Amino acid sequence: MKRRLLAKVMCPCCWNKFTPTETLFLATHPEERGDELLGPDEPRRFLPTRFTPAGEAIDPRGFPSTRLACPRCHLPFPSDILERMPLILSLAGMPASGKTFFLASAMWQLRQVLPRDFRISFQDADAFINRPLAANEERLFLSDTPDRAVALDKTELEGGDAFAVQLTAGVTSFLPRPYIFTLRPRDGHLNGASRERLTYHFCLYDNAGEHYLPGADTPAAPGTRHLSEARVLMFMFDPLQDARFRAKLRGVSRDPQLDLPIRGMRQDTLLTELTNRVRAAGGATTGTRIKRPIFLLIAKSDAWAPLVPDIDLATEPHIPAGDAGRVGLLDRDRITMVSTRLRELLGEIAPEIVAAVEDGFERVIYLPVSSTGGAPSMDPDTGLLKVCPSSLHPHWVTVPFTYALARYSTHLVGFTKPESGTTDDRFEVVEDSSHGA
Amino acid sequence: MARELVYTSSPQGILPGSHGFCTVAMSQGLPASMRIALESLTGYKAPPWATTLPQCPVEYLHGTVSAGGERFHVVGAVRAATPDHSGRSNKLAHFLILERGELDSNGPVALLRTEGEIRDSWNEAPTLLPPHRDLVPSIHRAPGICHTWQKLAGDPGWAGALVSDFILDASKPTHILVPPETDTLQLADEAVALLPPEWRWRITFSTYWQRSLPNHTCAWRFVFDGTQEAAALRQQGARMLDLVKGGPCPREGRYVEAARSGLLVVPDPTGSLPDEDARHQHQLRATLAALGSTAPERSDVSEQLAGHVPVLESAAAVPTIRERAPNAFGDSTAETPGAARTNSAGTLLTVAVMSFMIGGIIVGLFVWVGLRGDLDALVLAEQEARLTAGAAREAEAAAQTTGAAAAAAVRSLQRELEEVRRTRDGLATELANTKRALAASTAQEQPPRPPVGGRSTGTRAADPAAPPHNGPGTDATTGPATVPTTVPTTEPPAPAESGGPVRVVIVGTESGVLYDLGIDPTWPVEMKGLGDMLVTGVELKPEAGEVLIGDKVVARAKIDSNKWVWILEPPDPLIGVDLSAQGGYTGLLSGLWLNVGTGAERQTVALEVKGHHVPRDIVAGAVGASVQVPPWVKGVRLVGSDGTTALLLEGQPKTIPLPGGRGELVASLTREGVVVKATAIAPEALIDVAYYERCRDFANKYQKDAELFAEGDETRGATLLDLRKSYTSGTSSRVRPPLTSAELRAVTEECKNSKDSLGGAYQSIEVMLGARVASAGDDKEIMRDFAKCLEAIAALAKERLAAAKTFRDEWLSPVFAVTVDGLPSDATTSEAAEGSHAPGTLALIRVTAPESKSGSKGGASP
Repeated sequence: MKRRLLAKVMCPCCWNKFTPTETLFLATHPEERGDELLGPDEPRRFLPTRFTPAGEAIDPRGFPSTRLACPRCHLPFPSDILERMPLILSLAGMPASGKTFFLASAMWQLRQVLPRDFRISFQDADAFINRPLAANEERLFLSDTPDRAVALDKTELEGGDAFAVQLTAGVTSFLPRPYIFTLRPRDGHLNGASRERLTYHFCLYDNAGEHYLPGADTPAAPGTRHLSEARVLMFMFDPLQDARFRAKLRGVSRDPQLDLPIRGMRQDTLLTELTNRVRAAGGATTGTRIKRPIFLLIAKSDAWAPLVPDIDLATEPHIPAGDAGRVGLLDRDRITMVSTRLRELLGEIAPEIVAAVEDGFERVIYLPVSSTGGAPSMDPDTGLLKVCPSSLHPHWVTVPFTYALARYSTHLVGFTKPESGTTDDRFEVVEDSSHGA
Repeated sequence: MARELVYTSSPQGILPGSHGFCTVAMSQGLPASMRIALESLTGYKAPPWATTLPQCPVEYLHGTVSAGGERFHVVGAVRAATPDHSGRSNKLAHFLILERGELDSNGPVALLRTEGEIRDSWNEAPTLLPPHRDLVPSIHRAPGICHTWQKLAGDPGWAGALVSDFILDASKPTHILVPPETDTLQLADEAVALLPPEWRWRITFSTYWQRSLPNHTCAWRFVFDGTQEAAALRQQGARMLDLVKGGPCPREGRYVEAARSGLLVVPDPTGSLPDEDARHQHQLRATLAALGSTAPERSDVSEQLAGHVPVLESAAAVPTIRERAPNAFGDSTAETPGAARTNSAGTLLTVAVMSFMIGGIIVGLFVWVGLRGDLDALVLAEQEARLTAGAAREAEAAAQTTGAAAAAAVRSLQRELEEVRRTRDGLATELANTKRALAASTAQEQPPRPPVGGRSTGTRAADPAAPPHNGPGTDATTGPATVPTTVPTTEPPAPAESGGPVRVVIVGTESGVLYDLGIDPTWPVEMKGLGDMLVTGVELKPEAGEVLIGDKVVARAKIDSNKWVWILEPPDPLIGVDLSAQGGYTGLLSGLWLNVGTGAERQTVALEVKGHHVPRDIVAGAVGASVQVPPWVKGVRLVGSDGTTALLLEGQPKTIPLPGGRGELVASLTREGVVVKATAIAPEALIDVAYYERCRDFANKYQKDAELFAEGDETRGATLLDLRKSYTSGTSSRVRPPLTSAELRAVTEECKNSKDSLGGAYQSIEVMLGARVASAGDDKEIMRDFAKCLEAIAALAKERLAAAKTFRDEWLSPVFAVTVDGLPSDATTSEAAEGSHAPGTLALIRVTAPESKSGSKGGASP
């Protein structure tokens, strides 16, 4: 059976689109080093003309190679990308709004929740590329000293885990590292027999918040161009960086972040900047509402939950597969209700946020997230805000992803029927058209 | 004076709207391109063992950055800092940007160690700093035994090995693996001190190396054991000194000896590589021996040639040596003033004795040269005379400080030297006239000879008697010149026969190429990037000494809008200048045009940096072929085995009909290289012979095993299981489905029925022999089907192999052999007409142009 290659492949690093035949390979011979875009330490990239019987490209010195690279930026990407376009989810937000914690927490929770409650396999597409994110997960959730508080490093604007590429001669550009995950139904899933066909890829990026500031999108720093390719957009609103929320929270929360000075600009300005970048990338005019949905994630819900005592944020809004049948279901009624309630809350305290996001996007889903489930503590020795791994209880961090999955793949995750709790009509059972499972 | 930049996480940056990680302070007028370049150096990641701030190592670095067409030295530090305003991890980077004239002779490490120069904290509001900042003079760093290296690894010789690595091949970085919490700056300090002052700024380093950047060179990379980088290095097999293991350094050499003994390797005032010094010394001794003189001992040579030859001296003698050797900026008066005064009388006496001695040698040489007419001796004499003149200048300088009497004595010596010089010039003129007359008479008797083939750099001057060449490397009357396929980058060419000596020493680095030119001062030097390469900077070698003296500029260079570099006022012709070019593709600079001379004496060379691998010949694969070539290659020659050629120029695809009307090839030269695509090609051309052979062998090998396995012989059949295991252990197995008997039978039928086209069978073979066999189970029925399928494949492969061989022999090879051939960057189609230049030229094209077209642009001429 031949591999079904896409007619056009998109590089998850620079978002260049190219045909599979243009794909470069990474030489494996130790002497084949030096790439004009990535520097002298990188393996040489080459366009292969010869292959082994196993389908491996043969590098200029006769060594077989399987690692692929984009013809434009020369950065490596998983071979699965040749067959399936990844579903890009872009996450934006202010510096220090908690994006890195959210991604680490959400990915770890998805590794638990999807196989267990949704019968979906959730794996790294390329463990090497995903390594920095996995390291953050390990630091938070797999610490061998869980009672010792830890901190995650602030995401760097330059350097760090980003890829350094010389797209323009003499100018080093930093492209965000794509974190790519593979999802497919497991045995026992309603569509488990079609796992090959129903394989999907999630692609995420952990940009520094500074990347989203107005003026930060330059040819030398094109790191947020994934916004234009994203099927799902997420904006992380941090109430603890909003003066009005802080005033209300001082009486109900002891989060030490409330004592830190407010930094940077208003979040509605950032939201407008995000909207403008998406519009500009899509060639849309000012005033055009973007059709793609956006999740407005209201972060650190553990701190502001007392402001909405009527909604339950402690339990997850899904029905596990074991209870619902052979597919996990998202409780759409509950999510809708929470979204509506949060919109009211935001409209009451920070109406400009609601106005900004609804002015730019046709469909907005307001979701609460808490990456840690509790407030961090200030380490007196280091002055760093830290969290204790043993006390981590993330809330709702998987919901944006499972919701996107239910919306864009009607074969893996289902929604409950309105007011019934059973699978709604949109979920499809796929007849296995490939070889046996 | 220096410019600077500070980068950290702050609520407000220097640029409007910036906050978080941003630049918080920088010198006024710092170009944006430089700011961006510096910000790219600020990456920092704490090592895994560091839980507190003091445990986080500081990355001290020295490198170079290019901005606005100029190259600058950057010295600075990136370190973990106290948490930022948001309570999160932070870092602080502070860089000093130095121009050539701002370099301290003690080197970058000494600057980094100067207290107060590099900030270790930042608690201020964003601010614009003054345009220039005065630097505190750094403390002189004398060489010594490398005690820190000894303590760490057990042998100080490791430091010398590090220096030797750099000397031998500066283009390759060396990684120094050290235990956590090692004082790597001290290690760098001791190692750098082994180098003479004028070399210390050539060392780029990072004391806590974490990643490579495409436009940043780092020759010495200190890597802490236990980090991801250390683990990756061990896997890559990069050049590495493992100080964690330590033990006696297995290497030997002058620098290893120097690190162990504290002795200094004396610098060469010409700034050439010490290894070249050794060669010069050898040549000098050989010449002296040929002249009948006694070859002097090392120290004698050193004294006579004022440090021209490297020797080991004790550290105590360093000040004396430093007095003779100019510092990094060519400022020969930069030694400690007190020391100069103390030693002035002795210096004067030494200079006087030296002058008489050298003058005597020179007179003797010239008398001898006049009798024998030996050009080599003349060149030697010229060098001696130059050095003598240098000694006289020193003497004059010394005289100014020691009174009129001493000055008068020096002036007397100078007069004598002038007399010697006039005698020498007269002899040289006479010799040149004789030589020209001899050349003219020889030209009348013999046809002109082509340039001598086999020389590596091709920088010989044009023979004035030879007719102009019609194309690169080809003489219209004598046929193609023979040129090497690779260019050794350090071998100097022969001196020109007229117009003064020409010396080109090329040192390839990661970021560019240094051209050390010893040229006639009347010649302009032009540099032009090839292809996509951009000449972005030019530097004059500081050792020339006359580049900058105080505020007086005595040599200048500029880059015009066409990226031509002009040396307007070249310094001493025998010392020459360093031209430094940085490629647009930093790190893989692959070529450069270099024009030396004017008019008929202009020489154009295309140079390739060593190590750039370019395959010479290719044979098309299944759907064509491609070969990567350096971006400066502007044309390639498609050469058939029957001698027919097709010239392929950039941007001009070529259609090549296959003989017999069996199809055609479309070849093009793009940035990615040469691409040959087959259109409407005969099916036999789709797969090369080697592929069929592999298919056949593979099928034959496993067919029998499959049969045996199916019959119950699991011993032989186990090889199939091993095969499956080897495939399924790879990541690719995830996307490959299991194998079924039905599919096997289908493929078998397809192979058997494949009569006219190989397309389907080709894919079947690939699938069967590659991926699908990996999934073959141990089911006997599947194995039987598998054996049958393999049998069919083997039969088909055998059949197609014969056909392909026939096709290759009869049709394929005459059109598919591609020879990469460099063409001048500004060659036009007409100039580079087919057959007008020599095939096989890859790395070097020599063009001896007739009269310059415009006087400003050289290159190929029709």
